[in-house]
Parts: sequence; C-alpha cells; structure tokens
Amino acid sequence: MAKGIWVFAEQLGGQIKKVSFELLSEGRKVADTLGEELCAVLVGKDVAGLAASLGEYGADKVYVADNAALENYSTDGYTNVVADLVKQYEPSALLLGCTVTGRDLAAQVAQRLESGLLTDCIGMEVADGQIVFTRPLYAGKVIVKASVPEARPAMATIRPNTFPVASNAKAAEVVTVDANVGDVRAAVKEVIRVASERPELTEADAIVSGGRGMKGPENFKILEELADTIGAAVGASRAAVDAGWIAQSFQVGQTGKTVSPILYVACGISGAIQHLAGMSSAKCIVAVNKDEEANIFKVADYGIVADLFDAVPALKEEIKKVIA
Amino acid sequence: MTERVSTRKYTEIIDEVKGHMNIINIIIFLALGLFAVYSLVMGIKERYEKLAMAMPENRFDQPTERLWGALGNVLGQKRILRDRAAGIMHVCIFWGVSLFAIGLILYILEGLFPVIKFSNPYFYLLIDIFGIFGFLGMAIAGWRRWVAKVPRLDVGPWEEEKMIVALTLAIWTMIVSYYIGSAANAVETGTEARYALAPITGMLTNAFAGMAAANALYTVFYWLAIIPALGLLVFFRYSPLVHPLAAPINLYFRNLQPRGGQIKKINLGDEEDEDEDEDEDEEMNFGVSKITDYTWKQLLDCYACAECGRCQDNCPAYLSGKPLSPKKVVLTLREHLPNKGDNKADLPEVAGEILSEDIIWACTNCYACQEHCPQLNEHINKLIDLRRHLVLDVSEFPGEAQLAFTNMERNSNPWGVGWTTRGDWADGLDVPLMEDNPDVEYLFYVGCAGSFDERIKNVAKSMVKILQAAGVSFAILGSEEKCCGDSARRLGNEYLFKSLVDENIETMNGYGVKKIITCCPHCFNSLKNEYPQFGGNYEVIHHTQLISKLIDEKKINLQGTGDKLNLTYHDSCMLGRYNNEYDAPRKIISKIPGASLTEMERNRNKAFCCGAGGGRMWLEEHGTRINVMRTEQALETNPELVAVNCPFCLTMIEDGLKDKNQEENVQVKDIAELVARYMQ
Amino acid sequence: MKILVCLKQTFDTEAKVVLDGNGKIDRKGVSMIVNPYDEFAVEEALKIVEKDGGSVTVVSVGDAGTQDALRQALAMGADDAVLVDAGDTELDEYSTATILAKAISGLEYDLVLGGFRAIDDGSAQVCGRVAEILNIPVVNVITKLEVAGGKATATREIEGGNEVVEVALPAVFTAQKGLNEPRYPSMKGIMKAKKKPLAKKSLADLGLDAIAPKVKAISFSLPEARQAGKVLQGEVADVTAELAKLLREEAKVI
Repeated sequence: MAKGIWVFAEQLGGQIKKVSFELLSEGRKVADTLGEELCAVLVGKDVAGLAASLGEYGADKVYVADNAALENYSTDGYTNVVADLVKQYEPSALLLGCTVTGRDLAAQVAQRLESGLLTDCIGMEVADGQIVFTRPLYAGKVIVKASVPEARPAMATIRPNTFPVASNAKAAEVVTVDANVGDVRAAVKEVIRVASERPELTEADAIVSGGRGMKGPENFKILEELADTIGAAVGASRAAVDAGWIAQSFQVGQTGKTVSPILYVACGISGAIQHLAGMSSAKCIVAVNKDEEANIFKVADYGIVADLFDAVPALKEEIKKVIA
Repeated sequence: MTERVSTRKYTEIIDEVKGHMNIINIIIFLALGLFAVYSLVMGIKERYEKLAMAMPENRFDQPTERLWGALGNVLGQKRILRDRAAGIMHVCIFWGVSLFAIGLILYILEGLFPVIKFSNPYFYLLIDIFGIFGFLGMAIAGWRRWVAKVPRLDVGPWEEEKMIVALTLAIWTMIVSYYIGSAANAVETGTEARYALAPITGMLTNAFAGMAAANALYTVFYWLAIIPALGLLVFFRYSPLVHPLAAPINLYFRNLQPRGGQIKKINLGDEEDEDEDEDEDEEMNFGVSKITDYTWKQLLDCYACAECGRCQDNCPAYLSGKPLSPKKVVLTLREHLPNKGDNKADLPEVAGEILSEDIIWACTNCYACQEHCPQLNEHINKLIDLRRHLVLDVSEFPGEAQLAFTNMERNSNPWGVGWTTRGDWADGLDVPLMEDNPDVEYLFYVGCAGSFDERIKNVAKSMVKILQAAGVSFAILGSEEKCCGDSARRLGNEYLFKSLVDENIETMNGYGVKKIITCCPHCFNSLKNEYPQFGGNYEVIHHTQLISKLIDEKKINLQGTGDKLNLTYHDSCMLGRYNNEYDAPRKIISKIPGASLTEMERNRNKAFCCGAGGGRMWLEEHGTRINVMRTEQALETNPELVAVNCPFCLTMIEDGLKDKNQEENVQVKDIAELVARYMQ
Repeated sequence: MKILVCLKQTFDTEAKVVLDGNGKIDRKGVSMIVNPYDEFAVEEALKIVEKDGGSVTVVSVGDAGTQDALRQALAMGADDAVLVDAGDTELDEYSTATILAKAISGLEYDLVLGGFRAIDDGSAQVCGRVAEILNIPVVNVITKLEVAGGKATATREIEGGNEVVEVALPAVFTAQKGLNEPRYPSMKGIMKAKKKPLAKKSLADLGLDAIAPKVKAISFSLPEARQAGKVLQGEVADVTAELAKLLREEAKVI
C-alpha cells in the first residue's frame, strides 16, 4: 500500500525554492487528512544541509540524494534518481512546483511510473480519500477538478504562490539515499544566466508598458524601475513608439508584438483597439491613466485613475513591500 | 540669236533638270518614306509581339461604349484638361501637330507632284495657326521640363531625356521648315496669294520677295520638313516614347468595370480540373511572378504612359516619401518588357527583382493615380497582382499582414477578437437580429470596426439611433457576420477574401437579403462592387447616402444647439473616388444648423488618402505618416471638427491629431455621430 | 533527416468556452486551430529539411475534424501525415502519449518535435512522455535548434536563463515561442496539401487495445464571470497600496 505525500524540494544553487515550502505547508494538511507522512525529496550536490529547513515547513522525512553529478538539473539525471526513489518507497502522491524544472521533471517521472500527472494546478483538496486538484484549462476559461484515482503516485505540479507558507516545525528525519544518476544523454554545453536583464517582451510573464501619457523618452525610467521590481519586460504603445520615445521593437499591438503575459501594466495608454489586439489576452491587466474615460479601463482588471508620474513610483514601492 | 538660243536652251535645260529632279525627288522620297513606314510597321509589330507574350484578357466587349469613350478622350482631350496648364499644352500639341500634318502632307505632295495646286488662303491660314500651336505646345512642354523643371516630369536617365530633346527639335524643325519652304516656293512659283492670310508664311513670303536663291531655299527646307516628319515614324520603332501611337488604343481598351470592382477574380482551383493535376504543380501561379504573367492590357499601359506624372503628384505613398511612385512602376515595367524569344523561366521576378517589395506594399489603393491618369492606366491592379504572388504563391509578406490574415481566418476580423462577441456592441440597444427578423427591409452590415473597436462602436450605435428614429426596418447579423474581406483582397490574399465572401453570401442569401446599409465604405464597396463577382447581388447603400435620403424625406430632423461649428470634411477614397459619392455627406453637413464647412485644399476627387486603405491599416508605416500629412491638411482649415465617413479614416485622423497634440482642440466624428448629436 | 512532428488541434485562443448539458466542455461552433506551439515545431522541422533535406511527417491523435489541422501542416510544407482516430477512448496525457509513441515507433525518425505545451489543457507533458516511452532523450522549451552530424544542439529555457545542450539523435524537442516565426501557407501549399498522403489509423491498426486514462476529470466549471475591473480612485498612496495588495492576494500575479 502506497504511503506518503511527497514534495519535490526544488533547489537552485543551494537555495530551496519558495514554492517547495508552499507545497510542504499545504501538503502537511493533506497528509494529516489522509493520515500519511509528509516527505520531501531533495536532490542536488552538497544539499544535505538544506534538509533541516524543509522540516520547518512540516516535512516528517527528507530523502536526500546528494551527488556531484546532480549539481545542475538534468532531465535524465533527476528523473532517474527521483523515479528510483519513488519505485523504492511507493508514495501515494508526488507534488512539484510548476516551474521550468518541476514541469520538465514531472512529465518524465510520471511516464516512467506510468502514472497520471496534473500540471499547473491552482488548488488541492482531499475528497473521498483522493487528492483532488484544481487546474485551469483554456487559459483560465474553464476550471477542472481532477484526480488520479488509481495510479500511484498521483502527481501534480502546482503553481507558485498558490498556497501560503506556514511554519510547522518538525525535526525531519533525514534519509540519505544512493543516487544512481545513470546516463545523462543531453550534455549541457553552456549556461547563459540572464537574471539581470529584463525578459524578452513576447516571453515575459509580466510587462510594464507606456503610452502617450509618458510624455517623453526620459520618463520610461520609472517604468523600467517598476519592471525590474517585478521581473517584467518593458513595452510601449504605438503612440509612444511613433513619438520616438522608445524603439519599435518594444511596440505591443496589432502592428507590433502580440503578448500574453500573466500581468500587464498599462501606463498612460488609452486603449485603442490596435493596442488591445496585442495584449488583451493578458491574464491580469492593470491600467494607470488619469483619464477615467479611457478605453483601457474597459478591459482592465484593476485600474488606478491617477497621474502615472505619481502612481507608478508609489506602486513600485508598495509592491516591494508586499513581495518582501 | 545665239544668246536667245542659249537662253532658251538654258530654260529647257532647267525644265529638263526640273523634270528629272521631280523623278529623283519622288525616288528619294519613296525610298525614305518606305523605310519610314517599314520602321513604323516593324515598330508596331515588335511591340505587338511583346504584348502577345503576356496573358490574355478580354477587353473586346462593348465596342460602341469603348469607341465613344476613347474618342471623348482622344479628340475631346477630356481627362488631360483636368490640369489646365498641362492640358492646354497637350491640346496645342495634339491638335496643332495632327492638323498641321494635313498641311504638311499637302506641302510634301505638291513638291513631288507640281500638278497639285490648292490655293484656298483660308486653308493656309489654318495650317499656319496649327503650326503655331504645335510649335508653342512643344515650347511650353520644353519650358515645363527644362526651365520650370516640374518635378513630376522627371524621367531619370539622360538616355530618355535625349530622346525627348530629339523629338522636340524634330517637331520644331518640321514646322519651321514648312513655313520657310512654303514661303520660298511661293516666291519662286508666284503663288504668294495663297498665303495672303497666313501670318507666318505670309510674312516670310514678303521677306523673301525677289530673292534669287528662293528655289535653293525651298529645296533645302522642303527636305528639312520631310526628314523629321519621316524620322518620327522611324523614331517610334527605336524609342520607348510611343505614347502618341499607343494612347488611343489604350483608351479604347480601358477598364469598363465600376472602379470598385476592377480587381480580377482568380480561379483558385476549387473548380477542379481532375485531368491536369499532375504536372501543373510547379507552374501554379495565382499572382504575377514574371512580367509575362501580366495581361497584354496591363503591359499596353506602359506604352501609353506619357510620363506626365500626374499619378505621382497625387500618390500619398510617393508624397510621404515612400519608395513607390506609380509612374516609376509603369516605366520600370516598360524597361523590362520581354523580347521575342525570351524564355519565361529566365525572366526576372517582378516582385523583388524588378520592383522592390517596399514599393509593392506601400500602395494604399487610394485610386488617386488612376483618377488622374489621362490614359486611364491601371496601376493598382499591377501591384495587387504582385501582392497576390507574394502572398498566394511564395508566402513572403510583412509579418503584420500574417497576423491580420490569421485573425480574419479564425475570428473573421483583423484584430482577432473572438467572433462570438461580434454582436455584443448592440446589447441593450434593442437591435433585432436577422435570425429573428429575416423580413426586415435592410440588413445593417456593421463591419469589423463598428463591431469591435470601442471608438467605432459609437458610430454603429449612432447609426442605430438614426435608423430607429427614422423608423427604418433593419436587423443585424450579429455573430453570423464576417469581415467583408476588403483588406484581405487588397493585401493579395484572394483565398482568404473568397472564403469570407462565400460565407457572408451564404448567410445573407440564406436570409434573402436584398438591401444592405454599411457604416464603412470598404464594406460598402466590397459588398456593392465585388460581391457580385461571387454571386452576391444586393442593393448596397452607404450610411451617409441613407441619412441624406432620410433627411430629405423628413424622417429625421436636425436641430441646432445654438452654437456654431466650424468643420472640414475628409472624403474617404472608397466612398469618393471609388464610388463617386461626394455630395451626400456634404449635403448632410449643410443641413446641420450652425455648421460651416471649410473644404481642405485637396478635396473630392483630389482628396488625400488617410493612409489606411489597401490593407495598410494592418501594416506598420515607417517614415512620414500619411495620416499625419492628411491631418495637417485638415488643420490648415482651422476646424473644430473633422467629419469623416469611414472607420479607418476616423482612426487615422484621430491618431494624426494626437501626433500633432491637437486631440484636445479638434474632434473627429463620423457623419452618423454628428447627425445623432443634432437629432432630437 | 526524417522528422516527426506531434501536433494537436486546439480551440482558437479567442474561442468562447461553454459547458454543455452534461457539464462537459462544448466543442460545438468553436473554431479549431493548430496548437500554436506545435506550429513552431512544424516550422522548425520544415526549416531543417529545407536546409539539410529529408522529410517531415506530422502525427496527431484526434477525430475526423483533426484532419484540418494536419492539412494545414501539410500546406505549410510537411510531406505526409498520420491521424490516429482514438474513437471513444478517453484521452489523457498518458493515453495520448501511449498512442503517439506507438504510431511513431512504426515510423522511421531521426528527430521528434512538438510544442512544449498545448494552449487548451496546457499540460506540457505529452512530448516528454513520448520520449520516455520511446526511450530517447527529450529537451524541453527550446528557442533554438541546430542539427548536424547525428547530433543536435538546442538552447532551452531554464530558471533564470538559458542553457545550451547537446544531444545525440534521435531525440525529442519541444518548442517554445521565439524558436521561429511559422510561415503562412501559400496557395500552392494549400493545393498541394490536398493531394499529400494522410494516413488514418485506428487504435486497432496500431495494435493497441483500449487504453485506460490515468487521470479522471471530476467536474468542469466556468470561472465567475469576469467582474468589471476594479477602478481605484483616491489618494495615490492609498490606491497604490491597495493595488499592490490586490495583485498579490487576489490576482496572485506578483
């Protein structure tokens, strides 16, 4: 009988990702409801020292696979190690953060174990002895509740920030396991860190855009500051590009780039259809405009009627506070 | 005695020589003349052969209509006279030289066959005058070209300039030689009386009176008139400047379709020919790839072009500094006309190799070039055929167009807003759907802009208010309506256009639609002039036409607010030049109490495009913006408001005002919005 | 070089999604498109073949309507297509991957491409699973791909940057936006596509029995109708503080 709610403790450069703590925090409740133990799986090089921190968020047990070959994430290496562990201990569920790594690993492990995997979940509850996951389909137009009724472990990747972090200190039992990394078929030739640069417009999860209300090229600095606070790209409306304040490669809209970020902050943009056509699929649209009649408010989820030169710097400070 | 004999002998000798001379003259003339005529015939044949390499096109229908129209333009010089200065110059040259030619022919024949005597002084008076006109006409032309340096006349390479110089000198020489030769001959033969009324020849006759060398003078100038005259015929074989020959033919074969329906339907292969499936694959071309893919008429345009540059002078793309000049397009194609025996495979690609792609995509399809072309040349179709090649054959076109196409395919509108929401703008307005009320008089075809663009929705809503107030029976299609396809077609995507048209026609015919109101002149033109090609025949009315009618019928009343309103009106290309509707909107404006209309300098058929036509609405424009230029022209009239009849124009001029920081001072309103405002 | 592309037909991004009488997603009247990420994969395959020669086969699991999506890939330039009609089989990622892998294993291939996710269920796991079944490596979320000498070098997105990986072929790669700009099919392409081979197979043809899915959907629901946006008015300090809180706690986007 499979037992144990497992959380993949994702770490990068010796730092555990916050999402792993979130999963442990919520996983604790699930484990308690089902009467199972909550375990974390920690994979990497020289990571044993991080095990204790996982206990603080409720892990009963931490399986540590420490191996020099696991220093950087590799699909094959991590899949081999995690799948072997799962085969050995047969947990009933394996949860991962829906991150680049989590997503990559989850699919491979799920198939190797011939189990079901629900990705990008935004909720988790227990019903009739099963863990029921909530996930959006069609970019959020439909919500589905689903489970993995028979296959074990039931697997899911869960979006970061879905659950709050709850401290639940336990002295986690650390189980050091042999890591059989196996054959890593894709060799990493080069790693390009682009942490300091802003993301590419069409690929960014968040975008801060300016329009005619920016009044001049020098003012884009305040957008850049907000963008850097939330890891966003900077964009612009056609009017701002036409005025020569910013290069055309930053233009969002019908004749510019089509973007669909999670968050789009439109500053001093009136909301002409030419612009909307390029960004209306953004999940959350925030508008800052002093004209309360501006079209952009019709599509915005949140709006501030204010002078952007006051509001944008203030918003940046407030956001810093809440994400601190 | 001896003296007398010798004198007699001398005159006999002269007569004898003269007799021989005549024969020699005739022989020389015949030799030169035959060579000239041979050259002319060969010139025509060679050009015919070039045109015969092009694709067929039926321009042989309605011969009476064709003939009368051609005569009006050839003999009546109707179009050319739209530009007074240049028109008068052309009338002088055309009528001057061609009527002068009658006198010249007589002059030549008389020299060869002295028995011909024609002495009516009125005749010579007229010939003198025609000669003066011809001479002056060429002088004005030369002055415009070389002194005033009218920019549109620029022909570029010196090679061609040389030919124009030669042509001018030849005509001048011919005319002047006629005057001098005729006068000398009159003195010699004592026929001065015939030139009594002729101002120049008469004057010269007096000047030459008693001149000993009159005969020699005559001989020299006789030939100096003949050689350039025959030279012109030779010239036509070796020079590209064959306008005088090609023009009347080109006018005869002009396009008789309504302007809005001149884009040709192409067989997209859905009418399948099972048998010739296999080997045609590589040959399949839906647009123009090589120059011989054009039709013969499209290439004949190139010969008919007189390089007057009126197209260029009215082209918004050219005037805003884009690489497109309609004149250059025609001349560049003329330079690349195929030669007999050319292998099609070896010919260069027109798009890219002869005309750069920038040129091809710059056209706004505004029709100004064709409107002002005295030759009724068809520039737009030449470019659309190239766009068709780029889109349908090789799929190489601006990325923005691809987005618009994909959006039209998936959601039947160029912005890609979900098609199910197309009718949402009318929520709460009590607008019936065709689905529920198929028996209404009018279908109100809203169009994409009125359905999805927040700004333009207000135009559609204003129109609903007007229709409801006037008690017009109408309904909309809601989410069953699709984009009319105008932009797709003009961007070269005939396949997409046809699929939209087919779907719309199926829906509209399904409801038995007879009459359609549109708020957009692009929809208007497409439904009215293009849908019939695909089996959709409706009575289509633009909203300004209907409103004008409703005002006339007193179905709606406009009341003043007491305020004055200074406005200007911008003619859309689609309503104006394409469909010749300049009056209805102006009439509506004249009925608005307190409104005072100041026309822009470029108005009616000279109106400047907003820059959005020809699918340009969906493409990025670099450099000087056409809409900003048009906005500047509007601002010159110091308006409080710019009235428009087209959603694209409205958007473009509003953007232009923002660019000029005038959006707080000047409004842009559709005529329907204006009327709704004054309707109580 | 023989390239296989896994392709899925999805709802158009703008499609209005509604539930039918049984509480299931209603597919009626929805415009269907090729999953945009799969389009990147098709384009990349075509580019490789145009450069180095070879052929491109598109493979999909679906129903008769899925032909349209495959024809589009053929119109773009793919050489042939395989459509596995799964009939009444309930499809989840596991069963889809099993079917795809079975279909693929009967074909020759050097390279398998697909979108890294589909825009409908966004599960981002089918290609990975296929690789696992075929026992070949997978490189996910690539933005660049070069193939030479039996090896491929790909740039893939990782946390906080990119990495360049090299892998021996055959292998599976999943495409991310930025890999390329998919071409628009020419008329010539559309006409030719009508005559290109499109093999239709049933599960039985592949030698598969019914496959039980691993995931069970319990219920579908539509999110609450999007409320009119919250427009905040007042002192800048107050409204920005409130907005920051809303973005964090309500919208969960920062």
